[in-house]
Amino acid sequence: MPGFDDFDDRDWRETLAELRLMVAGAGFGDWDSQAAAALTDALEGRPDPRVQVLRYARSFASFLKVRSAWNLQRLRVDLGEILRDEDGRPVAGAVVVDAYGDRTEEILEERTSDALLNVVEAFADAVAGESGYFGEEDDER
Amino acid sequence: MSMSPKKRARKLTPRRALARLKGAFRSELGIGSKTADDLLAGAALYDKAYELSCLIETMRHLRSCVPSVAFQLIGGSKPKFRGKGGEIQRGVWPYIEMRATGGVLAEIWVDIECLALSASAQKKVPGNPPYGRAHELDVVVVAPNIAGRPAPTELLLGVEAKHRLFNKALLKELLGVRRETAYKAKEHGNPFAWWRSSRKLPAFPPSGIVLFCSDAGVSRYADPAKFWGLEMIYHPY
Repeated sequence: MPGFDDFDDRDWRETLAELRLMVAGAGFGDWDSQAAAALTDALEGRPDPRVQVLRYARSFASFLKVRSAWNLQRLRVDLGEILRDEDGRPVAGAVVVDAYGDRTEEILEERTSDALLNVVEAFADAVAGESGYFGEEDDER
Repeated sequence: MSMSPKKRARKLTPRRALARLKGAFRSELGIGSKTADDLLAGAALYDKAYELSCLIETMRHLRSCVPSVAFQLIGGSKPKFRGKGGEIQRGVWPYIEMRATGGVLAEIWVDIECLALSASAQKKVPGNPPYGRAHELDVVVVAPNIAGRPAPTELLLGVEAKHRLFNKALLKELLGVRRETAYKAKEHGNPFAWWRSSRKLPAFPPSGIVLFCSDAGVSRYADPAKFWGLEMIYHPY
């Protein structure tokens, strides 16, 4: 099975740098810069780049989880249980209005599947050595 | 007769691992097909979902202070979070009333700029934008019927939601907010300070500042927070 065992420190540093660019390029620039600052805070002596990749990936998976299908459903239920509107009905959603005031988005609407979360978690598991596998297989006919 | 193909595992390289991740980013988030504006708006929803969960958590904790309390949304059918914080504007933005038998105990608003202690002490009126004269808090609990930017004496609780790996820069930000909302003082009563059995805070005006953070590492930064009477709560996902 292909795994990460052959990676050396330079490979890990490159992987972290590429992963950071991917996350920032997807619109999560503030998350990335805060994560990088936290990794720097924790530096002591010579850092293990594999551990840094693992912490970054696990934390990003945790970040994505807040909008997983399961969690959005849980938020809907929790919100309705504690908050009522003026007619006494459970409140069923929440919106965000952008800084210009002309774009409104439903916070609890599912816009993506959990596929990205699953891939990031599989990546982190493999980096941790828990699954030993992250990659494709070729057909060999 | 067809035979099932044998699978041959390829050696994993950084390039292959990253290509698989990139594929998932591209297909799930729509990179390459969505506009940059759409991507940023989509990314902001993760932070707002966390803010919403912290709003719910805040209401649950407040209920522990007043078990009979009910929360009612006023002025809309859904809470409205703002991309940019602003003033309390009744009739424009929905808010939550914290009601008990005797009437409205307090109001809860989201994404509100609160007047800084330094501006208040210098009798400076914040303009629009207020720059350093007011600071945004994700959730505020304030006295009923106030308008504009709450003064330090009108703020009961301010809540910050950080769905981030916690770090020193975030701690500095939080300590700055504390310094600009209250003086360090002998303990003064705040009926909604649920994390203190005495319901007293070492601050005057006795407003509470609470951080919800999804990083377990937040506890490593707790010492200065404790000194200033800040409450840091690990609220994971």
